[in-house]
Amino acid sequence: MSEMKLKKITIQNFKSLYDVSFEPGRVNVFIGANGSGKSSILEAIGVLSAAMTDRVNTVSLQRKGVRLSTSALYKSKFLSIEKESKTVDFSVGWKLAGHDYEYMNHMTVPVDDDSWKYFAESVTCDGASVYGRSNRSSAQLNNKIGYFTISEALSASEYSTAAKYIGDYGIYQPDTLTLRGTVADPIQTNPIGLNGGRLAEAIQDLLHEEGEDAMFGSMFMEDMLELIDWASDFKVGKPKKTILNPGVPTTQEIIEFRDKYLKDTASFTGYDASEGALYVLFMLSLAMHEKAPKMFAIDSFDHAMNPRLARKVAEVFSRKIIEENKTVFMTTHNPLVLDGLDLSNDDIRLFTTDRNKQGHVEVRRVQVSEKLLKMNQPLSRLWINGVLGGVPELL
Amino acid sequence: MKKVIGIVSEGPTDYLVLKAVIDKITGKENRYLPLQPEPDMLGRYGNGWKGVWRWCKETESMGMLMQEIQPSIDAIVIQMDGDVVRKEKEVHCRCETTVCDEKGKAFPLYCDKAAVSKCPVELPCLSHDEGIPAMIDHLKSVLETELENEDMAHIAITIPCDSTDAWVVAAYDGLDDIEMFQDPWDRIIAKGKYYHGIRVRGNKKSTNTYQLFSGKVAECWNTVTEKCRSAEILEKEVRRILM
Ligand SMILES: [Zn+2]
Ligand SMILES: [Zn+2]
Repeated sequence: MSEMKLKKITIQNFKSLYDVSFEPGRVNVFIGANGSGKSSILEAIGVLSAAMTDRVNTVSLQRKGVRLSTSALYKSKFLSIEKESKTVDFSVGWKLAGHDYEYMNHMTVPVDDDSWKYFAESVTCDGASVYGRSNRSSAQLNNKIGYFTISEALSASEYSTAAKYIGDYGIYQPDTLTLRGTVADPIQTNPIGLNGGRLAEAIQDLLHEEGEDAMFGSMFMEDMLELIDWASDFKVGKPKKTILNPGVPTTQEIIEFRDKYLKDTASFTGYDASEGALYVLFMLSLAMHEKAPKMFAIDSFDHAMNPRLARKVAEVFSRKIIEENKTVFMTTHNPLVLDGLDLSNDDIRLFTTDRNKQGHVEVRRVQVSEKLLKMNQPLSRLWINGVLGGVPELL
Repeated sequence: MKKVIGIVSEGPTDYLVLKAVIDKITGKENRYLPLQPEPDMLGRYGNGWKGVWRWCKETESMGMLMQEIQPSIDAIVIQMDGDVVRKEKEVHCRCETTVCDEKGKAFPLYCDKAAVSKCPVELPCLSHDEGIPAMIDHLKSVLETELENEDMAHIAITIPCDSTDAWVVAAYDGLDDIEMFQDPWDRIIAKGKYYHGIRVRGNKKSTNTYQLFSGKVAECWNTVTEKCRSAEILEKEVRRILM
């Protein structure tokens, strides 16, 4: 059975996304000025994921890392839209085992409580309808719950595969204290929380040996350590009094590093680990952990990483995402991240977000010819020079 | 599909005016890429007229940039204010009447003599006729020298005279011969605290103010092209490269 692959996402009337559609690959990088709509895209995918596989309310959105705001904000409010559209509309198309599927839904935003209502939802396989309901045709159904995972018409395994793939989506925003295990993750999902909680345990799962070789997931430990250039080794263990200040609260397990510049090569320490190292471990754990979501988003991929490290991690991370048949959506402000992307690989796609005159977000895939890339024109420079778009206009 | 237009301009306020005007001429909303001033903290090309000139010199192949990226750039519009002709010595470095032992050796902006204020050019330069058309032609040829290897089918140069500000004045006040009027920003627009009810800070051209000005320039574009030869030329050029 071939692997699940997203084909197209359409979002209408959600925040500043008045009418946006794009064709994602496996690694999808969004660049654009602040306020250009990058984060709204990640959030809209969160709503779509919740709508398709669960329900849309405060709790389900929170679980996906969709920032909460008043219901009115979820719906586009533009003066230029004369007759305000009644519903927020989403659709997602994917390919699985040789067939093309599409899920579509129309929702109304909450008025009195916090639950979005399903106005209509439908599923097609190879263009033929396999499921559909609308407010008018089936008023007796619960209009606060999505039917994709409960309809009998969709009980075949390909639908549960798709539901699992899309339903596990979350927006990760790692935070240093949570990564260090000194504060608990407010949104602890399995295996890693949206803020990086329980990273140590996830790393533990990934550390193993294959014959003579120490491995981190599918990576040789030495390749992994190349990304953390100050460390000669790392492991996960119970905190010992000797390495931690007793005043520092920790979760159960901590990540310990061996500093290659320290004389005492026997000692591991967790609390002093650099932010960059923790972020690298976090990204790659998400990419490789078998229990981590197949589809997820990272807001500000470059956060806390030195530009060159961010470039290298972008490269390794993309490779792992593709190997694992995952789908990731990420945003970045760091030009060097782009240089870590092999755009000649169609699975890796770069998008710009801009606002048009009406304030509506426009998303465009950017492609750069092999010829231009070979002519010493790195993507970072093209971005900075403005030819890719996705830059603030007036700075 | 929207047309994609790269703008190489002296500053953000010129960018705003060009955007509004080109939308007006083409009759639709286009997508604009600010190529210069470079939106980068390093300011590699610098701002203003020097930045524009340097961009033209250092961009190896505009044709390549336009074709090898998708969505591709349909046209590039390059802007330099006409006042550069009367104010700046470097743009006369290669002129007939200039006598300088560095002439033809260094790119004028990198000339050592200019760097230590020893440029022998005397202003006004006597190599050109007086008047707006000569001013425009000269700056155009200065930039075209750097674009020798480019296919100009989709590249236009615009030289607002005396500056883009003159178009603003033409739009609001409909003055004849406004192009001959030097420094319209200081002497007309920023003379008082308000210009046609819009708050103006004399020392700084704010983009918010210019957002309003550029709307007016587009709205009154017919008047602007009647009063300004430089605007009329831009209209023709936009039609040539985009329509
Ligand atoms: Zn001259
Ligand atoms: Zn000179």
